[in-house]
Amino acid sequence: MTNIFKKHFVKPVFILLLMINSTLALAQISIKDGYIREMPPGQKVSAAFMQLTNNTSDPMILTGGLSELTSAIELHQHKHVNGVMQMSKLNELVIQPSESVALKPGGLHIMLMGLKQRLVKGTSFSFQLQFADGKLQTLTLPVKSLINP
Amino acid sequence: MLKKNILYIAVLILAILITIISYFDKNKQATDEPPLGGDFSIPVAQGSLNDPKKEIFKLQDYRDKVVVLYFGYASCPDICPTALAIIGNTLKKLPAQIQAQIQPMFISVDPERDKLSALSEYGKYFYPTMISATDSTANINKLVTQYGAFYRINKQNDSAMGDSVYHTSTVYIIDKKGKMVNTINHADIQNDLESTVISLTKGQ
Repeated sequence: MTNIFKKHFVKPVFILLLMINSTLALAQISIKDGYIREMPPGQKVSAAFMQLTNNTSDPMILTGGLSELTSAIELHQHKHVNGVMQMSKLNELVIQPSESVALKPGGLHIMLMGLKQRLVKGTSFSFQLQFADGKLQTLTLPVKSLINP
Repeated sequence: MLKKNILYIAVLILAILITIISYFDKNKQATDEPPLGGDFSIPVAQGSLNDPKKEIFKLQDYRDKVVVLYFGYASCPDICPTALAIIGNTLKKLPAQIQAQIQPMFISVDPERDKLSALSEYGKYFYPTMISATDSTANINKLVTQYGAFYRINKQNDSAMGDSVYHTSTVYIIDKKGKMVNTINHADIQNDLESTVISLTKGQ
Protein backbone atom coordinates (compact mmCIF):
# COMPACT_ATOMS: atom_id res chain seq x y z
CA MET A 1 0.00 0.00 0.00
CA THR A 2 2.71 2.43 1.00
CA ASN A 3 4.72 1.48 -2.03
CA ILE A 4 1.78 1.98 -4.34
CA PHE A 5 1.10 5.35 -2.75
CA LYS A 6 4.73 6.31 -3.19
CA LYS A 7 4.84 5.13 -6.79
CA HIS A 8 1.57 6.64 -7.97
CA PHE A 9 1.29 9.78 -5.95
CA VAL A 10 4.41 11.02 -4.19
CA LYS A 11 6.75 10.48 -7.08
CA PRO A 12 4.58 12.17 -9.79
CA VAL A 13 3.75 15.06 -7.49
CA PHE A 14 7.39 15.48 -6.61
CA ILE A 15 8.37 15.48 -10.30
CA LEU A 16 5.54 17.92 -11.09
CA LEU A 17 6.64 20.29 -8.32
CA LEU A 18 10.20 20.07 -9.54
CA MET A 19 9.07 20.93 -13.07
CA ILE A 20 6.95 23.89 -11.95
CA ASN A 21 9.74 25.26 -9.78
CA SER A 22 12.37 24.91 -12.46
CA THR A 23 10.06 26.66 -14.97
CA LEU A 24 9.53 29.52 -12.54
CA ALA A 25 13.23 29.77 -11.88
CA LEU A 26 13.92 29.96 -15.61
CA ALA A 27 11.11 32.38 -16.36
CA GLN A 28 12.96 35.63 -15.83
CA ILE A 29 10.22 37.36 -17.71
CA SER A 30 6.60 36.29 -17.48
CA ILE A 31 4.41 36.73 -20.50
CA LYS A 32 0.71 37.52 -20.41
CA ASP A 33 -1.89 37.94 -23.16
CA GLY A 34 0.64 37.11 -25.86
CA TYR A 35 -0.35 36.44 -29.46
CA ILE A 36 0.95 36.67 -33.01
CA ARG A 37 -1.04 38.13 -35.86
CA GLU A 38 -2.23 35.85 -38.61
CA MET A 39 -0.44 36.79 -41.83
CA PRO A 40 -2.27 37.98 -44.95
CA PRO A 41 -1.61 35.65 -47.91
CA GLY A 42 1.57 36.38 -49.84
CA GLN A 43 3.32 38.15 -46.96
CA LYS A 44 6.38 37.15 -44.95
CA VAL A 45 6.09 39.33 -41.87
CA SER A 46 4.04 39.32 -38.70
CA ALA A 47 3.98 40.98 -35.32
CA ALA A 48 3.84 39.55 -31.82
CA PHE A 49 2.14 41.40 -28.98
CA MET A 50 2.26 40.63 -25.25
CA GLN A 51 2.70 41.96 -21.78
CA LEU A 52 6.16 41.36 -20.32
CA THR A 53 6.84 41.40 -16.58
CA ASN A 54 10.32 41.29 -15.09
CA ASN A 55 10.36 38.79 -12.20
CA THR A 56 14.03 39.23 -11.35
CA SER A 57 15.64 41.76 -9.07
CA ASP A 58 17.73 43.19 -11.91
CA PRO A 59 16.74 45.25 -14.96
CA MET A 60 16.21 43.01 -17.98
CA ILE A 61 17.18 44.34 -21.38
CA LEU A 62 15.27 42.80 -24.27
CA THR A 63 17.14 43.16 -27.57
CA GLY A 64 15.11 41.02 -30.00
CA GLY A 65 14.45 37.41 -30.76
CA LEU A 66 15.59 34.25 -32.52
CA SER A 67 13.94 31.54 -34.58
CA GLU A 68 15.15 29.28 -37.35
CA LEU A 69 11.83 29.79 -39.10
CA THR A 70 12.42 33.51 -39.60
CA SER A 71 15.16 35.61 -41.18
CA ALA A 72 15.13 38.05 -38.25
CA ILE A 73 13.16 38.97 -35.15
CA GLU A 74 13.38 42.58 -33.98
CA LEU A 75 11.81 44.89 -31.48
CA HIS A 76 9.97 47.71 -33.23
CA GLN A 77 8.34 50.91 -32.08
CA HIS A 78 5.84 53.28 -33.64
CA LYS A 79 5.92 57.01 -33.38
CA HIS A 80 2.84 58.91 -34.40
CA VAL A 81 4.13 62.30 -35.59
CA ASN A 82 1.62 64.80 -37.05
CA GLY A 83 -0.56 62.01 -38.38
CA VAL A 84 2.40 60.10 -39.86
CA MET A 85 3.11 56.59 -38.60
CA GLN A 86 6.83 56.08 -38.20
CA MET A 87 8.01 52.55 -37.48
CA SER A 88 11.62 51.93 -36.53
CA LYS A 89 13.79 49.35 -34.84
CA LEU A 90 14.25 49.63 -31.11
CA ASN A 91 17.68 48.31 -30.14
CA GLU A 92 16.78 47.58 -26.56
CA LEU A 93 13.86 47.66 -24.22
CA VAL A 94 14.76 47.97 -20.55
CA ILE A 95 12.29 46.34 -18.17
CA GLN A 96 12.94 47.29 -14.54
CA PRO A 97 12.47 44.75 -11.71
CA SER A 98 8.77 43.96 -11.18
CA GLU A 99 7.89 46.35 -14.01
CA SER A 100 5.42 45.36 -16.76
CA VAL A 101 5.70 46.59 -20.33
CA ALA A 102 2.91 46.15 -22.87
CA LEU A 103 3.70 45.44 -26.50
CA LYS A 104 0.46 46.37 -28.23
CA PRO A 105 -0.90 47.45 -31.63
CA GLY A 106 0.09 51.01 -32.51
CA GLY A 107 2.97 50.98 -30.01
CA LEU A 108 5.71 48.40 -29.51
CA HIS A 109 5.78 45.00 -31.18
CA ILE A 110 8.12 42.14 -31.86
CA MET A 111 8.41 41.90 -35.62
CA LEU A 112 8.92 38.50 -37.20
CA MET A 113 10.49 38.83 -40.64
CA GLY A 114 11.15 36.44 -43.49
CA LEU A 115 8.82 33.80 -42.07
CA LYS A 116 9.27 30.53 -43.93
CA GLN A 117 5.65 29.56 -43.41
CA ARG A 118 2.39 31.49 -43.30
CA LEU A 119 1.10 31.71 -39.74
CA VAL A 120 -2.64 31.07 -39.57
CA LYS A 121 -5.10 31.31 -36.70
CA GLY A 122 -5.61 28.26 -34.55
CA THR A 123 -1.93 27.37 -34.72
CA SER A 124 0.91 28.49 -32.48
CA PHE A 125 4.47 29.63 -33.06
CA SER A 126 7.55 29.31 -30.86
CA PHE A 127 10.55 31.61 -30.79
CA GLN A 128 13.11 32.85 -28.32
CA LEU A 129 13.37 36.25 -26.71
CA GLN A 130 16.94 37.50 -26.61
CA PHE A 131 18.34 39.59 -23.78
CA ALA A 132 21.42 41.82 -23.58
CA ASP A 133 23.11 39.49 -21.08
CA GLY A 134 22.92 36.67 -23.65
CA LYS A 135 20.05 34.85 -21.98
CA LEU A 136 17.30 33.38 -24.14
CA GLN A 137 13.73 32.63 -23.18
CA THR A 138 11.52 30.40 -25.30
CA LEU A 139 7.87 31.29 -25.69
CA THR A 140 5.00 29.78 -27.64
CA LEU A 141 2.22 32.12 -28.68
CA PRO A 142 -1.14 31.46 -30.32
CA VAL A 143 -1.80 32.93 -33.76
CA LYS A 144 -4.88 35.17 -33.86
CA SER A 145 -6.71 36.77 -36.75
CA LEU A 146 -8.00 40.34 -36.96
CA ILE A 147 -10.55 39.33 -39.51
CA ASN A 148 -14.22 38.74 -38.64
CA PRO A 149 -15.95 36.15 -40.79
CA MET B 1 -7.77 119.00 -33.08
CA LEU B 2 -9.90 118.54 -36.16
CA LYS B 3 -6.79 117.73 -38.23
CA LYS B 4 -5.79 115.09 -35.72
CA ASN B 5 -9.26 113.48 -35.87
CA ILE B 6 -9.16 113.42 -39.66
CA LEU B 7 -5.78 111.73 -39.49
CA TYR B 8 -7.12 109.09 -37.07
CA ILE B 9 -10.12 108.43 -39.30
CA ALA B 10 -7.90 108.19 -42.39
CA VAL B 11 -5.64 105.65 -40.69
CA LEU B 12 -8.67 103.68 -39.50
CA ILE B 13 -10.20 103.59 -43.02
CA LEU B 14 -6.86 102.48 -44.46
CA ALA B 15 -6.58 99.68 -41.89
CA ILE B 16 -10.11 98.49 -42.67
CA LEU B 17 -9.39 98.55 -46.41
CA ILE B 18 -6.18 96.52 -45.98
CA THR B 19 -8.07 93.97 -43.86
CA ILE B 20 -10.84 93.64 -46.48
CA ILE B 21 -8.39 93.34 -49.38
CA SER B 22 -6.23 90.75 -47.65
CA TYR B 23 -9.36 88.76 -46.71
CA PHE B 24 -10.53 88.57 -50.32
CA ASP B 25 -7.01 87.86 -51.47
CA LYS B 26 -6.78 84.88 -49.09
CA ASN B 27 -10.12 83.54 -50.28
CA LYS B 28 -9.00 83.93 -53.87
CA GLN B 29 -5.84 81.92 -53.15
CA ALA B 30 -7.84 79.18 -51.46
CA THR B 31 -10.21 78.78 -54.41
CA ASP B 32 -7.31 78.79 -56.88
CA GLU B 33 -5.93 75.58 -55.35
CA PRO B 34 -7.50 72.48 -56.86
CA PRO B 35 -9.54 70.47 -54.33
CA LEU B 36 -7.96 67.23 -53.06
CA GLY B 37 -9.11 63.99 -54.62
CA GLY B 38 -10.58 63.49 -58.09
CA ASP B 39 -10.42 60.89 -60.84
CA PHE B 40 -7.47 58.56 -61.28
CA SER B 41 -6.63 55.24 -62.83
CA ILE B 42 -4.23 52.59 -61.54
CA PRO B 43 -3.14 49.02 -62.41
CA VAL B 44 -4.72 46.40 -60.15
CA ALA B 45 -3.71 42.95 -58.98
CA GLN B 46 -5.14 40.11 -61.03
CA GLY B 47 -8.67 39.13 -60.02
CA SER B 48 -9.32 42.44 -58.24
CA LEU B 49 -12.01 43.59 -60.67
CA ASN B 50 -15.26 41.88 -61.62
CA ASP B 51 -14.12 41.60 -65.21
CA PRO B 52 -10.94 39.49 -65.09
CA LYS B 53 -9.82 40.95 -68.42
CA LYS B 54 -9.65 44.42 -66.90
CA GLU B 55 -6.31 45.27 -65.35
CA ILE B 56 -6.80 48.99 -64.72
CA PHE B 57 -9.05 50.54 -62.12
CA LYS B 58 -10.64 53.80 -63.28
CA LEU B 59 -12.45 55.85 -60.67
CA GLN B 60 -14.81 57.26 -63.33
CA ASP B 61 -16.18 53.70 -63.79
CA TYR B 62 -17.34 53.73 -60.13
CA ARG B 63 -19.92 56.51 -60.17
CA ASP B 64 -22.51 54.16 -58.65
CA LYS B 65 -20.26 53.28 -55.69
CA VAL B 66 -18.81 54.90 -52.62
CA VAL B 67 -15.07 54.21 -52.80
CA VAL B 68 -13.24 53.65 -49.51
CA LEU B 69 -9.55 54.24 -50.27
CA TYR B 70 -6.51 53.41 -48.13
CA PHE B 71 -2.80 53.93 -48.89
CA GLY B 72 -0.35 51.57 -47.18
CA TYR B 73 2.11 48.75 -47.86
CA ALA B 74 1.69 45.01 -47.61
CA SER B 75 4.74 44.24 -45.46
CA CYS B 76 3.39 46.65 -42.83
CA PRO B 77 2.99 44.41 -39.75
CA ASP B 78 0.71 46.48 -37.55
CA ILE B 79 -0.86 49.78 -38.66
CA CYS B 80 -2.03 48.86 -42.21
CA PRO B 81 -3.53 45.45 -41.37
CA THR B 82 -5.24 46.99 -38.34
CA ALA B 83 -6.83 49.73 -40.47
CA LEU B 84 -7.75 47.36 -43.30
CA ALA B 85 -9.24 44.79 -40.91
CA ILE B 86 -11.38 47.48 -39.29
CA ILE B 87 -12.54 48.60 -42.76
CA GLY B 88 -13.37 45.01 -43.79
CA ASN B 89 -15.02 44.06 -40.49
CA THR B 90 -17.09 47.27 -40.48
CA LEU B 91 -18.36 46.71 -44.02
CA LYS B 92 -19.19 43.04 -43.34
CA LYS B 93 -21.67 44.12 -40.64
CA LEU B 94 -23.68 46.30 -43.07
CA PRO B 95 -26.79 45.06 -44.91
CA ALA B 96 -26.01 43.44 -48.28
CA GLN B 97 -27.68 46.22 -50.30
CA ILE B 98 -25.44 48.82 -48.61
CA GLN B 99 -22.31 46.67 -49.03
CA ALA B 100 -23.10 46.37 -52.75
CA GLN B 101 -22.75 50.17 -53.04
CA ILE B 102 -19.30 50.30 -51.45
CA GLN B 103 -15.95 49.63 -53.11
CA PRO B 104 -13.00 49.36 -50.71
CA MET B 105 -9.54 49.75 -52.19
CA PHE B 106 -5.94 49.30 -51.00
CA ILE B 107 -3.13 51.10 -52.84
CA SER B 108 0.45 50.12 -52.00
CA VAL B 109 2.94 53.01 -51.88
CA ASP B 110 5.79 50.47 -51.87
CA PRO B 111 5.86 49.12 -55.46
CA GLU B 112 9.45 47.95 -55.07
CA ARG B 113 8.45 45.28 -52.55
CA ASP B 114 4.76 44.94 -53.42
CA LYS B 115 4.58 43.45 -56.89
CA LEU B 116 1.06 43.31 -58.27
CA SER B 117 1.37 39.53 -58.68
CA ALA B 118 1.87 39.16 -54.91
CA LEU B 119 -1.02 41.48 -54.03
CA SER B 120 -3.89 39.54 -55.64
CA GLU B 121 -4.92 37.88 -52.36
CA TYR B 122 -3.92 40.73 -50.04
CA GLY B 123 -6.97 43.00 -50.21
CA LYS B 124 -9.37 40.06 -50.47
CA TYR B 125 -8.04 38.76 -47.16
CA PHE B 126 -9.56 41.79 -45.43
CA TYR B 127 -12.76 42.01 -47.49
CA PRO B 128 -13.85 39.76 -50.38
CA THR B 129 -14.16 42.55 -52.96
CA MET B 130 -11.34 44.82 -51.76
CA ILE B 131 -9.22 45.91 -54.73
CA SER B 132 -5.41 45.84 -54.42
CA ALA B 133 -3.40 48.17 -56.63
CA THR B 134 -0.03 49.81 -57.10
CA ASP B 135 1.88 51.67 -59.78
CA SER B 136 5.26 53.17 -60.60
CA THR B 137 6.75 55.40 -57.91
CA ALA B 138 6.13 58.48 -60.10
CA ASN B 139 2.42 57.68 -60.49
CA ILE B 140 2.05 56.73 -56.83
CA ASN B 141 3.59 60.06 -55.81
CA LYS B 142 1.18 61.90 -58.07
CA LEU B 143 -1.83 60.08 -56.64
CA VAL B 144 -0.70 60.46 -53.03
CA THR B 145 -0.31 64.23 -53.56
CA GLN B 146 -3.67 64.40 -55.35
CA TYR B 147 -5.39 62.93 -52.29
CA GLY B 148 -3.35 64.78 -49.66
CA ALA B 149 -1.79 61.62 -48.27
CA PHE B 150 1.88 61.32 -47.30
CA TYR B 151 4.52 58.62 -47.26
CA ARG B 152 8.29 58.43 -47.17
CA ILE B 153 10.46 55.35 -47.57
CA ASN B 154 13.24 55.36 -44.98
CA LYS B 155 16.32 53.22 -45.30
CA GLN B 156 16.83 51.34 -42.04
CA ASN B 157 20.46 50.31 -42.09
CA ASP B 158 20.32 48.80 -38.61
CA SER B 159 17.24 46.69 -39.30
CA ALA B 160 16.55 43.52 -41.28
CA MET B 161 13.40 45.12 -42.68
CA GLY B 162 15.60 47.23 -44.98
CA ASP B 163 13.06 49.96 -45.60
CA SER B 164 10.48 51.35 -43.27
CA VAL B 165 7.60 53.20 -44.85
CA TYR B 166 6.57 56.27 -42.87
CA HIS B 167 2.98 56.91 -43.86
CA THR B 168 -0.34 58.49 -43.01
CA SER B 169 -3.00 55.97 -42.04
CA THR B 170 -6.11 57.67 -43.33
CA VAL B 171 -9.26 56.46 -45.04
CA TYR B 172 -10.40 58.57 -48.01
CA ILE B 173 -14.12 58.48 -48.73
CA ILE B 174 -15.12 59.17 -52.34
CA ASP B 175 -18.82 59.68 -53.03
CA LYS B 176 -20.82 58.45 -56.03
CA LYS B 177 -19.96 61.60 -57.96
CA GLY B 178 -16.26 60.81 -57.68
CA LYS B 179 -15.68 63.57 -55.16
CA MET B 180 -13.52 63.01 -52.10
CA VAL B 181 -15.96 64.09 -49.39
CA ASN B 182 -14.38 62.85 -46.20
CA THR B 183 -11.18 61.62 -44.61
CA ILE B 184 -11.06 59.46 -41.50
CA ASN B 185 -7.92 59.33 -39.36
CA HIS B 186 -6.54 55.98 -38.19
CA ALA B 187 -7.83 56.30 -34.63
CA ASP B 188 -11.36 57.19 -35.78
CA ILE B 189 -11.97 54.45 -38.37
CA GLN B 190 -13.66 52.16 -35.86
CA ASN B 191 -16.12 54.85 -34.77
CA ASP B 192 -16.72 56.91 -37.91
CA LEU B 193 -16.51 54.66 -40.97
CA GLU B 194 -19.89 52.98 -40.62
CA SER B 195 -21.96 56.17 -40.23
CA THR B 196 -19.97 57.93 -42.99
CA VAL B 197 -20.56 55.25 -45.63
CA ILE B 198 -24.18 54.73 -44.59
CA SER B 199 -24.91 58.46 -45.01
CA LEU B 200 -23.49 58.34 -48.55
CA THR B 201 -25.33 55.20 -49.63
CA LYS B 202 -28.75 56.23 -48.34
CA GLY B 203 -31.53 57.25 -50.70
CA GLN B 204 -30.98 54.40 -53.07
